[in-house]
Amino acid sequence: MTAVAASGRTRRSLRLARYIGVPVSVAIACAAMWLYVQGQELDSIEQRIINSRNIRQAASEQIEIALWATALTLIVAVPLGIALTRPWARRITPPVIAVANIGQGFPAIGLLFAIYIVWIRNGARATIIGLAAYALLPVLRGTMVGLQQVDRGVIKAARGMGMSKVAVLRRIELPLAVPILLTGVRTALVLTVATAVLGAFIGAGTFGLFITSGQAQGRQLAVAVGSLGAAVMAIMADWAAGIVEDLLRPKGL
Amino acid sequence: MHRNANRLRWIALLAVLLLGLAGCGDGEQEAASGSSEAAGSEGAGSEGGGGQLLSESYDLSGTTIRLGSKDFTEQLVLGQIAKQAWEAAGATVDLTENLPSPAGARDALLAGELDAAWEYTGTAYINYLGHDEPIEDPMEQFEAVKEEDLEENDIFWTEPAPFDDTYGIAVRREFAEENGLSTLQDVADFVEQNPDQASFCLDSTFASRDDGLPRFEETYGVEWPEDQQTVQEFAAIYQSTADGNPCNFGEVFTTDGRIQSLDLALMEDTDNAFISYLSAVQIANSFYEEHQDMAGVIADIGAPIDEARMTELNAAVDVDGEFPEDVAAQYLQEEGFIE
Repeated sequence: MTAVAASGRTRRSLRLARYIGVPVSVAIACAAMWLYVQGQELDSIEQRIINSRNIRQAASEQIEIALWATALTLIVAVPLGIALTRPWARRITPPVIAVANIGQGFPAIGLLFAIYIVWIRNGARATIIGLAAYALLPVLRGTMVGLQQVDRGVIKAARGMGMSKVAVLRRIELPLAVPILLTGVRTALVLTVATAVLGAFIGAGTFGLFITSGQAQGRQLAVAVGSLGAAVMAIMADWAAGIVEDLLRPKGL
Repeated sequence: MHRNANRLRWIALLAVLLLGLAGCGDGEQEAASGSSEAAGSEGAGSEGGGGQLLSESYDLSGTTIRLGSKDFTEQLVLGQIAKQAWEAAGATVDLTENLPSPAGARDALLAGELDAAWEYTGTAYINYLGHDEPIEDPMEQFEAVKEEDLEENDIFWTEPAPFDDTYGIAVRREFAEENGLSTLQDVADFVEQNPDQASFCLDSTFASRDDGLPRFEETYGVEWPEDQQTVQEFAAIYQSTADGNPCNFGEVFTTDGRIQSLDLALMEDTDNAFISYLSAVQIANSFYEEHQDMAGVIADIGAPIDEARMTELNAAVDVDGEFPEDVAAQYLQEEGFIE
């Protein structure tokens, strides 16, 4: 009893440390970079790349792309995951998973270019579609595993009590699958935020632009700022998703 | 309905991916068949141009040269020309192609992994030697690069070929005709008067380096609206511009074969906004000193390549689908450098 309470306390304080520790370390890293850049004399090329307007724009582009891509992934993957775990879908599950696998197996950069050239001539939208395809598999997998790990006995008991299939899904399966599903969502968000930098190649901006232009012109400082920016985006996305995960997780699980 | 649409989308995407894979396969084949084709084509008959047979003027026998070229058509062609020319003079050339732009070959050269690589004077002056203000006169800039690179990095530069592969702005032909655009001044005026139609695809390099967009804006007295600029990968710009989707204007390289193949109109740079990018071969100086004939060969074979010729060679690869090694061999034969 006391052991359980104690472990609960440690878990809470650990969580608290994570809530505060992550943004604090990120802030320190950003401040250090800011001070370093301030101390450098930037030439005209570096000034055109590294400035607060570009940084703000890159951050907003990256967040916007990642949120849309994640939303799109969820809209497609969660219902698909639910459908594929229904008994009637047994036979079509393997081919669908195989297709979802391709989305992730194909190099993300090739996927973005293909979508841009043959389909959507808008960098941001093409990136959103590409990243959604890219993140489809983890979320689909998360949904399916989450639903499949629900104890069959519980489902049978619920059916035996007279609950309809829909009611079982809604009141038993989905709530029990929430933790694993949320992990899938978190993975998708971090994946899309981090991969959004590739959008720079097709005109979607993001911190990738700092990296490509810095690399192309031998300005390592721009590459460093872009890399830090992209890393900060991904770490903060993971941090925020972690909090949401804690809040949404059903009590007692 | 929704699922059907979804499935269709997946099928479409799948088809695209398969096409992409097929494309990769071609690339590998091309690379694999490279050396044998180059060797085989030397036997073909030639009319013989004005040049003198390299094998008669130079002797590089017993030398093994590690040569690198970058990852775009012009570099592949130039790399093959240098390779076959040095081979004609008796050397063994170990060519590494498709090194990442812009600095892959340069880094390998500095690290001692390569002995020689083609490079552009503008790129070296701005990117590698770290200047932010270019020198207007092409040969003066070349001399500055040659001197500074030898001093600082122990790299020797051969004589440059006469062609200048610089920046340009291109427009799809129909749009150019409709709006009477033929010079960069016309473009500047158009942007001033129709900012809402001035969609411009450019790459990040052009957007930020002094000799790119800022210099165009300064020279022609116009400011290109920020919200009309789409910064994207260079390779995507040509198609984006040819289709007018999403851009009416596109940044190009003036000797790119795709200007011709996609029927783009290249705007004339009447006020010399864009600086020069002459091509020459950088050679590690210690290596050059032991094999000085290398530079003579490059000076000879580079001399006939003016802008029109380089564009033609690029187009032979990009438009007609020939292999760079065949295009190079044909060039050397036509000019009478090899038999």
